[in-house]
Amino acid sequence: MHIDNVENIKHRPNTIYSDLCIQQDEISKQFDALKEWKEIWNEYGFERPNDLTISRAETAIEKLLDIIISADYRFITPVISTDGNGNVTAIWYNQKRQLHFKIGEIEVEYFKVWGPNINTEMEVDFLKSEHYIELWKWLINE
Amino acid sequence: MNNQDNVRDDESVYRRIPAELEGIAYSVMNGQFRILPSAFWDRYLTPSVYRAELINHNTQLPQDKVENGIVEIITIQIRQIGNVVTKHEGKVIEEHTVDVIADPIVDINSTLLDSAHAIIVVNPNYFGSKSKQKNAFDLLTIALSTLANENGWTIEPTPP
Repeated sequence: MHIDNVENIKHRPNTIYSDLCIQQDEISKQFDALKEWKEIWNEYGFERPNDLTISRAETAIEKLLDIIISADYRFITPVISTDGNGNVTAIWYNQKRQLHFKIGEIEVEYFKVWGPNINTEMEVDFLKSEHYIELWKWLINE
Repeated sequence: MNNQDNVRDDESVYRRIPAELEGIAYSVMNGQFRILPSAFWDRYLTPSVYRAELINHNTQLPQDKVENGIVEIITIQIRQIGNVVTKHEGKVIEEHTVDVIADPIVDINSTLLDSAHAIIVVNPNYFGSKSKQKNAFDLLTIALSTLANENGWTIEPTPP
């Protein structure tokens, strides 16, 4: 995974740079697991995300990571998975708050979730570049 | 109507989380097992559950294999998760309530095989294109996984 501002990050205290590397490794491992799709998952009806969708998902996560780190926010490692329909999902958890990205071939939807009630504790919209920081600030409760 | 036909609000239901779905239905990060929305994925958009009371709260039947995990949710929690919505061009065109209904499994001779089986459904049923139906279903799986994480594991899976 490539981060545009990694050269700047290298000059920050070692702990921050090392933490970032650990998170990048963890994200890469999760994408690798999706790429090495297990046959048994088909038997449950899960549709494998295609290569284009996985590539788009990697780009979306890289972009978010880049923006968050550049803005000096703490990054939280997402859980990378699939929704069963061939989309890649990335979910960040921070106590009761969850931020979901559903990444397809064409578009990305986000879900803000702060409880199980669909009517009063969730928001859904299509993701645009200007949403990244706003969503992150909401997730970390800033 | 038999009493068993109605799933009461106060009944617990079990959902199996297969161990071999690590990374898909559940994640393990820093030792923490988290239930993901895909734990409630179902190709027919009607996730199966087992009514705890009808199996004397014995988790072995829904668990199937000892390595599989189990989560438990109270029926009223499911019925109170609000309305799943179907959208067209960004606008809500239908709101679906969520319900748990008995769905006993019988064989071709109508012999009862599993009286405890139930399914999570919406009213009215999903409609429209496949993508519309799946988008609506996504909300349900997110809500159910949020509930399951709040309740915690009854049995954690043993990853392969």
